[in-house]
Amino acid sequence: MSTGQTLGRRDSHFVDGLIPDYVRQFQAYVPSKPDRQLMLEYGAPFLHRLNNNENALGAPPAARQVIADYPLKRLSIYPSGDAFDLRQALAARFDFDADRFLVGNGSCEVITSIIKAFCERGDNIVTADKTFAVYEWVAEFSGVEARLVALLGNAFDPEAMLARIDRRTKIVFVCNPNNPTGGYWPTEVLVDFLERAGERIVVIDEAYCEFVEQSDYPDAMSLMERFPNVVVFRTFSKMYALASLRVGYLVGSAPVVDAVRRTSTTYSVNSLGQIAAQAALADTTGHLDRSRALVREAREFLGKACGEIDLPVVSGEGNYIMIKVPINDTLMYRRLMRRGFMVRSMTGFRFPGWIRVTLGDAAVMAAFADVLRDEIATLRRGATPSR
Amino acid sequence: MTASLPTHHTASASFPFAAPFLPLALDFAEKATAAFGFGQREIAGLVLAVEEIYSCYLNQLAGIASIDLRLDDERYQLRLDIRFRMAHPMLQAFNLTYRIDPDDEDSLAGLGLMIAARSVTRLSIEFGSDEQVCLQLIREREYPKATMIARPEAPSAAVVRLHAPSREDLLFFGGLLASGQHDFLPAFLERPQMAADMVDGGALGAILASVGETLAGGVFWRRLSESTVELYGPYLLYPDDEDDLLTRLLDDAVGRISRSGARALLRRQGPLPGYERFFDFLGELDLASTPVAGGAGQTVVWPHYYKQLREESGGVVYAEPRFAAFLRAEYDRLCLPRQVRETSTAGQRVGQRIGQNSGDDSVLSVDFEHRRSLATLRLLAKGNDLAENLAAHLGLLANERIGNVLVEIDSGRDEEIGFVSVLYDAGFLPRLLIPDAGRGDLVVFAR
Repeated sequence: MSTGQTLGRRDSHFVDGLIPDYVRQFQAYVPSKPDRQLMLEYGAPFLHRLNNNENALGAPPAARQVIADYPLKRLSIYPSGDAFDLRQALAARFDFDADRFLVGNGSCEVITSIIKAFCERGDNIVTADKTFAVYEWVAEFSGVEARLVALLGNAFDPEAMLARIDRRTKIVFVCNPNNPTGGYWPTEVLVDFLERAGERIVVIDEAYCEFVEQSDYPDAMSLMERFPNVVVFRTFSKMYALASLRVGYLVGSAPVVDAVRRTSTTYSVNSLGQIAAQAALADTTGHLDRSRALVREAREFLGKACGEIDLPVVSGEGNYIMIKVPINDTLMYRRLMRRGFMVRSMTGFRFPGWIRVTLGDAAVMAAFADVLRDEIATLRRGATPSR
Repeated sequence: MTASLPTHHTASASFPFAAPFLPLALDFAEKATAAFGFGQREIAGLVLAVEEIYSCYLNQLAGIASIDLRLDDERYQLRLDIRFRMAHPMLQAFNLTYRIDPDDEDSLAGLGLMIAARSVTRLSIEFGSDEQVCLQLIREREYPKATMIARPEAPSAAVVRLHAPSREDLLFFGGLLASGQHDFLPAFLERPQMAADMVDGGALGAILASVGETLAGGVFWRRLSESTVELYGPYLLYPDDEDDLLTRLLDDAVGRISRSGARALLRRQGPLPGYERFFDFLGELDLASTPVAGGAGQTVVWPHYYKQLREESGGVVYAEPRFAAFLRAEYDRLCLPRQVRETSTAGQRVGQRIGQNSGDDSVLSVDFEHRRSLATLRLLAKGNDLAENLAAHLGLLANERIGNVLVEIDSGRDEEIGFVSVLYDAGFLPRLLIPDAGRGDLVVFAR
């Protein structure tokens, strides 16, 4: 005999009957708790969040200034429902018509909008198995099949993805550079893929493009005229360090954007986010260069530190590095939490045994390297049970 | 992950709790069970259980408004929920220790419940607010043991392919396993048709590995509780010197399970060399390999491995001082964020409040695993006779020459925390903590 379920089960029966199968089977994402709660639970003396690939430099000075100057009386006024001024600024920056931009509450919202716009039951999307999970999640809870293709090395595998495309494939998601591996498709690979992908939407998610320093990294926006099925996603959460304001956008051909706009929520981007993003775009203080330099130095420093203690790393483009640890990654996460460092355990990304660390401030990187070195030494000294 | 996505069918009916409706309730149970494709033996067991429970409680109290029956077809088993409202239902007859005395009318009153408990595979009891009672009966389908299939020669180096198995793959793999020696083979692999039905019904996840055209290994997983998935394997049919196949199977399975929503992954099917990359080591239980009465037998160690699948799990556990010391040490060793609050009366204090049965009669469940001479006790219903009931169960198990007795406590169920002091008094000590495996963490006690 065994213990069973609660009586609440009956109460939930009527709800179960209302929920579509694909929603019932989907598990809600559990976000991390506030810092103060985590510090209390783990007994951590401080907490450095190195788990979300945020920019340690913070927002560009101009963005901070517009927020500081924001008139309080404007708090009672709805934001621009379609981020009018921000779209104008994006249009000027990238030389496209403003109507070809769609701004959302973070890139997660535009992912949801594009799947809702193009997919119905029986359709599928194609993406990688070890990448940003939101493409897969949104597809699943929308009742759309997510076809996941194994990576080739550390980047998406174009041939394997093409092989999974069929007539019901509506969208292909390519994370370029890939989160979490940092691998990317150079221009030649991307163009070849687009030539063969046929008549379906190809999303190039460039959330980390501003960190890339390689010359063969493609400018996907420049391909949109030749390939009108290309849609580019970008965000102000990473390089521009406005994650708390949640501003992301897509740009594509007019008919594609018009379709996505029909399934988008208006007024979802708050006024502070809109003006801060505008200011960030206009920044002339060298924020991008400083950020790239910071990440470059951190990558070199942490890569070397890991090498010295024989920990393999995967570190392509983007402001993050993956480290292979000699123990279960979720245990390493908890050990590091107790020392005040929050990393991303990679089991959920289908990389069990790896952690991902945000590259950032030199002092924090040095302190993290010390703690990691210490933890690894403790583990190697410790007598682990033989079974 | 298929193990989290059961696709089953349900039949339910509600009857006035009155004698004239008993035949109708029995008819419903019989016809629904048959319609779900179960055989005569399963039908007979469930119908008998419904009849005995219905009749017993009908006799105990008149005027109960209704009784609800709900049958869930999970292909490899039927789950029957019987729900009604009653302030103090008779429960003691669900104990394995319950005995009928022909001269004692009170004991005869429990005969029906005793028969019901023995005519199904598992029984559990839940109490809700407003005197709600739910008896959950589970009857597994009966399956034949695997037919042994001789293993082909070890495959030469070839492309390794991981794949979701077909029904035929599973039957074949079960036959290959049967031809070897595996100490920790679960029942569903000893009876691979059961595994195939479980996979079909979404109760079991499975990945097989083929080297070239030869099946070379497999890994399986199923829900142990709402929050925990249990992993079985990997089972490897040929030497795997570099642990290459083992690593690929584990990486693939863990990757799939990690997106299932489960908070934890548990593995307890024998030693796993090189486990560190995949799991935390929870500890091990020492099991006597021969019955107590058989004299000094060998000790078999039973290791438990765990992997947290979600980054935060926090929580508060109330515990009496001796238990609190054990919990603190384990939470510290495993770096788990839990707050332990010391109290001498945690279980009693909150157990009453949540509507737990507060009568005289406690109920303990017993899970037997005869191959390892193992019995696991769990608390189904608290009562004032808990210490005596535990002693009676231990006496019965000793008479049955069961060499290993474990008791599981769920730290997320307040009434079970109240059981802890009884266990200490009976000579049990906490040996192993399994995070997230119940409503809270499970703690295994042994003597």
